Amino acid sequence: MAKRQTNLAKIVHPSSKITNQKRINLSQDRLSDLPDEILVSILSLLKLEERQRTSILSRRWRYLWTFVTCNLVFDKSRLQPVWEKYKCHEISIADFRTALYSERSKFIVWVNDVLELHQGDTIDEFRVFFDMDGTFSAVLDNWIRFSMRKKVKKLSLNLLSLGRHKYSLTSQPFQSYSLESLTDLSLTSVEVTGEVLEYILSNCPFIEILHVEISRSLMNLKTSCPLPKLKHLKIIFCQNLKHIQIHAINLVSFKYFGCETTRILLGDIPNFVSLSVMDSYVGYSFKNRCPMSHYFSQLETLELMILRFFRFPKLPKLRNLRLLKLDIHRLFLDGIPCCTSFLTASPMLQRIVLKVTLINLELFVGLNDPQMDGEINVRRDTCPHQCLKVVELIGFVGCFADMQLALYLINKATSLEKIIVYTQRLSLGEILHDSSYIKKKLAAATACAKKLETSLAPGVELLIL
Amino acid sequence: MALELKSSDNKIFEVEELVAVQSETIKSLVEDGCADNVIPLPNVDSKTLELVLDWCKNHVDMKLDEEKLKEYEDKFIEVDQAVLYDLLLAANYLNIKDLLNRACQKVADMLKGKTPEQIRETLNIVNDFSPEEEEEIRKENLWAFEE
Repeated sequence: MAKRQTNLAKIVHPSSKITNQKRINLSQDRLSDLPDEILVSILSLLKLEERQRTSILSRRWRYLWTFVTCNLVFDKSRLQPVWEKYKCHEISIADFRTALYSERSKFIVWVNDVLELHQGDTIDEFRVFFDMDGTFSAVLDNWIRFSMRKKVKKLSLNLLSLGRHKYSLTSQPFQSYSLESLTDLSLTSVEVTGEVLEYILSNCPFIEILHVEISRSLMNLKTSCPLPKLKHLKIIFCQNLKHIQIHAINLVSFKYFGCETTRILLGDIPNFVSLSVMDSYVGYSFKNRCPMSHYFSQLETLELMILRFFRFPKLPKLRNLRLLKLDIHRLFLDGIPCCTSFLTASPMLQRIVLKVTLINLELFVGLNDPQMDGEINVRRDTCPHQCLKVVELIGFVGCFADMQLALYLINKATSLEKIIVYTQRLSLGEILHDSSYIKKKLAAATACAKKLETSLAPGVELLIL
Repeated sequence: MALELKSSDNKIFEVEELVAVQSETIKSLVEDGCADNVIPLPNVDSKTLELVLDWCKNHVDMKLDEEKLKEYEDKFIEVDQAVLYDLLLAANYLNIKDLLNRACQKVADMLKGKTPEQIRETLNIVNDFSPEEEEEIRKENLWAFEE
């Protein structure tokens, strides 16, 4: 490769570049007159591919993009159209695989080239989001070493691989580098053991966010050293995880998608205000023997995702709860009793976000009777909720159940300020039905949402998105 | 406390200290005790300085109202290219972070979604590469140009 000149020595103070004619001729290239550091700032606001394309603008611009230090994000957006075609059965799995392998080779060349060309001293965020399994260990290890050399703050690997032989993260690429800059570590579809995590965490005194998703080898997440800066912990679908025990006294939020047989010991965490759990852990967490139940009085945000059958438990008092997000399957939980329980348990609740998911498409068709005749009358509630200000309904279809739920909440919330209705359908519908069908359903849903307007008190805003 | 700032075309602007110190450059002058007399700003003309001071004043006034401030910023930055570059240079020289960021974002938005040819046209950049050099660059950055 030809030698490249380092342009950044050209950081000039603007005073040395003043020319009197600067404003007279508008067809001049004035942007290139700006000092390098401003141009690099502008380039850092562009996506990597666009940034890289500025290399061809002119000599001045050729290597400016390589000085950007804010982020290097390598993602799979190029794979998306191929994936869509495969999902719609336009191409076979064999064709998809061929396309994937070809794109992947090019992807690896791209990343390696960009890393080679990079001239900045540091990198704030290094992110790789692509289908890469264990056969690419050497490559991935090298990329990690690169980001460590550049004192990366946020390291994120999402390797998507559906195959058995996932990439295993070892402590090897981290050794001989200082990990002090690392504040944010996110690993998805990367096999990482508790030992390796312990090694990394014990060398990262400033770590604030830890996210591990889909790692079968994670059995124990135990750290002996304190993690005073850790604020956000996300452990998702690590099916063999038996034990979490960390000393993170300043923990603020915890997201856990896993089963109740995992022992979770977080200790005394006075700043802990946000919990997100799923399925059976939801019911378990409300039981007294579950360690999570001790924190309920502290919680300000609670997110529950319920996709399987579930008997709703008796709720403890959620004295400090301000924001409730429920992602539930339409059939399994009847919206109104569920809401009633939560509203009664959470007197300070200000915002509720309800997402009602449909997994089975046939049911989508059956439940959908958006053409409603006559009024739905919901009895005026005797126990109004004084604090609820914002209601958000995601996946609103306009059927009877949806309208009932919406009207129930509207009537119950005497201090309601805003109700937002999201009618955009999930991708499920988009895949299996043609767009005209979807458009009709959306229009019907929107029409129903509009009917809610008549039930609103004056001054309450209705947004249909 | 009021400060006096002099633009490159010798116009004097009197401003509240609170407004002027949005500029880190001016702030350090004040802290070092060098702000008793008129502060000369030879790199900013009066037209630009007026705009900059308007930005600073509004950022002091609307500090607590995020929505109103955003509305103001969006309207403020709708200027033609020549003025935008003047603002960029002034914000850089005077070290006013939020103005610099907003102006950079405006330029970045101008570049988004455009081909290199379109960018050259918008920004009046002259292509000084030979065809061989261009070929070399396309090879060096293959993935980015394949999109």
